[in-house]
This record gives sequence, structure tokens and C-alpha cells, in this order.
Amino acid sequence: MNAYQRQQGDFEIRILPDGRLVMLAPDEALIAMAEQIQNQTPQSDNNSKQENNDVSKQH
Amino acid sequence: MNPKFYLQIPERLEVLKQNLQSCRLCPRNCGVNRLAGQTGYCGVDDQLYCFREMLYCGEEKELCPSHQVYFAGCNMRCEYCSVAEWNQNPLEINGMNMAQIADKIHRRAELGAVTLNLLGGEPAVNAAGILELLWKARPANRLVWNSNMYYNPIVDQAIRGLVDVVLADLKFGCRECAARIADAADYCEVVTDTIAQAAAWSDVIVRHRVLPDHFECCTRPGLEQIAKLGQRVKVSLWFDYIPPIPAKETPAGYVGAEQHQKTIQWAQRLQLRIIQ
Repeated sequence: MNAYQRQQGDFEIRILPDGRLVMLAPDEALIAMAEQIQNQTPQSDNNSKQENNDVSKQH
Repeated sequence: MNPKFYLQIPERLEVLKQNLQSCRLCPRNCGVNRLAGQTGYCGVDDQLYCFREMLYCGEEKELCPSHQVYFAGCNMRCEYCSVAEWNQNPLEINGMNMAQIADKIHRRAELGAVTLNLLGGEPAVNAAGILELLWKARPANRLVWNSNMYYNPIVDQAIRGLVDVVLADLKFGCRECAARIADAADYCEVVTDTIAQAAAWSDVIVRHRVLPDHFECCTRPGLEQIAKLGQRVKVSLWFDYIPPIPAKETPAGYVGAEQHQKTIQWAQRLQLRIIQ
């Protein structure tokens, strides 16, 4: 099976092996969404904070 | 932006446009006539194709909040690029026109953007369009040239003094990895020169995104090169590599704690000026 190739405008969110949630090259809408989720989720430690988990661009 | 250099934009733009008739902005030296609509390796003609702009707080702290403006078209083919889908057919992007981008630049500055971050794709292949944009918009915030640094000296001459911070990606430390992962065998030689050139006139932040299991071949030699520039350049280390699916030539895993620690220790040993 061929892997899906991301298209323009797609969002990609990935759950890493260590449990972190990351976004690939998020745009403003996706970042706002992540902030909203973070605000609604009880934080037990710093490792789960979204601020460590987004990637503006990896090129 | 320094008014003296701002007033030099029309003259510099003219030089760039002449170059675009047989494009040699970057080491690909395609020689195509971009003014006539031809495209070379980077896939862009003489127009700007902005595919995204946003206010962002995830860059180096001293650059935030940052107004990120993304231009399509790139002269490298990093397999792990997270915006590759925007660089495949830049001419098909129906983005904002120059007046709209200029308007956004002012609006984002009003919202608190302390920097205008020009990225892509690769800003160097869009240098002419970017200069035209700067002439029209005359941004008040600090300008960041967020680049792979894989370009010819003509680009350095065009941006010299206009840009406040050169945010230089240091991707690889050896010829083999640069060729295999990004189709740019001469990357290391070129980038060593362009970073040194930029450090002569600009604040430079070298950003190295650590690749899993590439310490000996990339991180170590790359950082050693940067150390030769001394305290003039700042270094920003990123450990957030995310592999593409599938990963062919590029690592398929993530950076582990051991490599993370080893990299920091090596950077400290080299007495690099590390920033967050």
C-alpha cells in the first residue's frame, strides 16, 4: 500500500511513540485549535504542553 | 529597516531582475529566463507565490512574536520537508497578491509582530519578488531572512543591510548526506561561505535541526564549522525532527535523549553561543 502524500491545505497531526502529539507545519487555524484543546485539558506536567509540540517548519 | 539601504532597493532589484533573465541566483545555475516565465529547479518564475502567513510564537524567543510569510519554491529537495506539498507546483498556488501581503505585514505588526520572517520554500529563489515587496510595504519590524543559505553571492549582495537577522539553516555536515537527503551535494561548501558572508554584516542565528543518528556525519562537523566563526553567530539547536512517511533516505525515527544530550555537550565543548 502506498503511503498517503500530503496535499496542499492538509493538516497532519501525529502521535509519537512516547505519547506526544505533534502537528506538522501547522497554520494559524491548527495552532488555535491546539491551544483550545490545551486549555480544556488538565495539565499534569510540562511534558504534555502543546507549546513544545508544534513545528513551524521543517525544511 | 535602515533608510539608507531601503533607498537602495530599486537599484538592487534591477540587478536581480537582470540576473533572472538567465537565472543564477543559486548554485543550481539553471540559466532559465524567469522574466519570460521559464522555470528552473526551484519552479518559480519572477512572481511571488505566498502560500501562508501567520503570527507565530514558536521561533527562537528573540524573534517572537513573528510574522511568518511563506513563499513557495525551493532549490533543495529535503526529503523530510514539512511544506514540500507547497513547493511541488508553485505556479499553481493562488495566493495573496503583493498588495495583500503588504497589507498583512502592517496588520501583523499592529498585532505585535516584532519580526517579519521571510521563509518558504526558500526566500533566496524569491529574492527579486521579496525586494519588490519590501519596497512597497516598508515594514517597520525587524526583518528575518529564514533561509537554507544555499545561494550565490548575488543574493547576499541584494539583502545586505536590508535584513536584520539571518536565520540560517544548517542541515547537514557532509557531502554524502546532503546529496542523498536533499539532492545538494555541494551544500556544505556553499553554506559555509554564505553563513560567513552573512555574519560579516548581520546578526546571524544558525539553526541546526538534529537528525537522528547523524551526529558523526552531520551535527559534529557542522557545529565545528560554525565554531570557527566564533561568538559572532548564535546557535539554535532543534530536536524536533519528524520523519516523513515513508522515509527513504532520511532517518525514519526520532531524536533520542542520548543524542540530545551528546549534542548539547558537544556544543558546549565548542563554546557555541547557544540560544533558545
